[in-house]
Amino acid sequence: MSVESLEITYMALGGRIKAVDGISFSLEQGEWMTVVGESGSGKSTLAYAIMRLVPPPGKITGGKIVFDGMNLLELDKEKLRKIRGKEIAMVFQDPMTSLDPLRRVGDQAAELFVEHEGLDMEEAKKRAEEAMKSVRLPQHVLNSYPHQLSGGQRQRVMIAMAMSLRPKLLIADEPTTALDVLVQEGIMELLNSMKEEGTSILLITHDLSLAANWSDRIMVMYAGRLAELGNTEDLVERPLHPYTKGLLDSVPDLWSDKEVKPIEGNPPDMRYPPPGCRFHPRCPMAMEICSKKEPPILSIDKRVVSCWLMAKEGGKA
Amino acid sequence: MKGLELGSSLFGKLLKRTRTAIPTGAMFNVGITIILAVVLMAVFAPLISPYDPTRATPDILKPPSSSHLMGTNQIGQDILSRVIYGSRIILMVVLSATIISMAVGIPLGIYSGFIGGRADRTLSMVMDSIYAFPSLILAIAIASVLGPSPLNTAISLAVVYIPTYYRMTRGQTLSLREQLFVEAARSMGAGKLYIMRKHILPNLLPTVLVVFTLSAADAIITEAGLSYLGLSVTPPTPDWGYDLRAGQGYFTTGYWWISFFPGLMITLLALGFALVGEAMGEKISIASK
Repeated sequence: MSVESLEITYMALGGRIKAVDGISFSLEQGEWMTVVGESGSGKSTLAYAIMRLVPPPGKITGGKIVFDGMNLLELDKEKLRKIRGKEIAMVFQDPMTSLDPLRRVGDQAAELFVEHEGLDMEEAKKRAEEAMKSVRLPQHVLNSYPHQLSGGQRQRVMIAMAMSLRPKLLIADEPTTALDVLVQEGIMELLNSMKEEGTSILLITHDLSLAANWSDRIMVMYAGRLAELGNTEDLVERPLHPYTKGLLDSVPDLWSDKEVKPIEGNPPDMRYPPPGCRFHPRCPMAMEICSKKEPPILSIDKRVVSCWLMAKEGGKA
Repeated sequence: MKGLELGSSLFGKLLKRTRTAIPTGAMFNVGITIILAVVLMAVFAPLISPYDPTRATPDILKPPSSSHLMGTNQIGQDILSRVIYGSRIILMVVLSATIISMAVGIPLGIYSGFIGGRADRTLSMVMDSIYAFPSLILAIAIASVLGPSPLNTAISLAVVYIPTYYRMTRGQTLSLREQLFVEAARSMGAGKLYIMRKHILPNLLPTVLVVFTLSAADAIITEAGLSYLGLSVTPPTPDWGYDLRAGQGYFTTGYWWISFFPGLMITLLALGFALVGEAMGEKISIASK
């Protein structure tokens, strides 16, 4: 899958807000990429866009999302419906409300197979049973209503449903934000096992340590733009962008006396984004040019970074 | 909870004032008992009524006694039998009116709320203008155009109550539409029709049930009003509203029982529905807190 200079605009009353502005990246089969950013950086909007589920008044105003050779932005509704769930699946942030409260979990899961694989109800139920087994949920879950399950169990159900059709891509939008750390570990292991079976994972989170522990590559977003993208190890060991550095410094470390340094200031009001580099008002290394011209998107080895510092150090656009 | 504010219903207002004093369980039990009693009365009318409700006899204007528990009217018909048979008409009319209102109002409301856009604005405007009329006046106007028959009464009541179901359904759909499980269903490839049918409709049912009972209470009063005005049934069909009117002229001269018993039944049945509706409304608003 690849995304090319994607642009998503919210038509708000106070004007247009570009939530995602010229994001490009590609994702290989069986690769796990994590998108990291603060609230409002456009990371969730990006995830919804790949599903073509950007909530109004948001609109995809430019770019391309190529999946399996098709541009998702040009597909008609019927084709899109077939792709959703079957080829691309999504797991949402809040497991408490992502299941219909009035219907048994088993029925909701079984209907997936009826719809996407044309199975009859009996076979579909068997497949739902297998799906629950694969996430190590007991069989009685199938006959339960969502309110009878814990948050972790519900998220497992959602992942079981997302996994069960063996999608080529799984988008997980902060799937563990509402859950405790132990449950989080279990959910991440599930995602990893999916990855090992060849599913690409796109995880959206604001938790950098989560990203560092599990993903192959990390993309850092700031105010709708790409800040830095690179292999997890490179990015964590040698961050190129001052924002990435700032994020890494602000993560507390249990095993050392390293001082936690927060990034000063707040993310910009997206109605009036600062000119030039959007990070420059908060950037400790800001130069004159940063406030005047938007930094180029540079490729250095296998990394992508958008910062004037790197342009000075001989990166090629 | 919007849509439950049946402000025109006297019972609604009265109950609102007293409902803090009466426990919900008792309200529900009393209400459901009244409704069930009237339904049983309607179903088993031929078995339990002592006389033929339409047969005139020479025993006119007899006060309540052991042979005629509720007395007889000016043409010697047994009032108890007429009250028992009368429950059939009012229940049938109100029930079929409600079914028509639901069948029209609920799908339109779901469509409006879920799809939105121009159709939604047009529908809302039409529904709001119907809603703006006082219900009894509108029902009278429609019924007098269509002519007196129970079916026409049902139709005119249905028109009056369509906006109630529409507005409630639309509002609920608007909030359900934003729920994550609807989004999740979409992400799994569910179509609009599927979501409306399988996710929105079932989640509406509790509210529909409350609105049904409350608007039924209101509809009973309106139905009685229409037949009181002679816009529903034609004699000698037994009907509470009609019989109330028939006995009115005799009321001041001391023959109180002719109007009293049909009137009492109208009040009781409306009260029954209102009590059940209020009790269920309370339950739902507690559950959603």
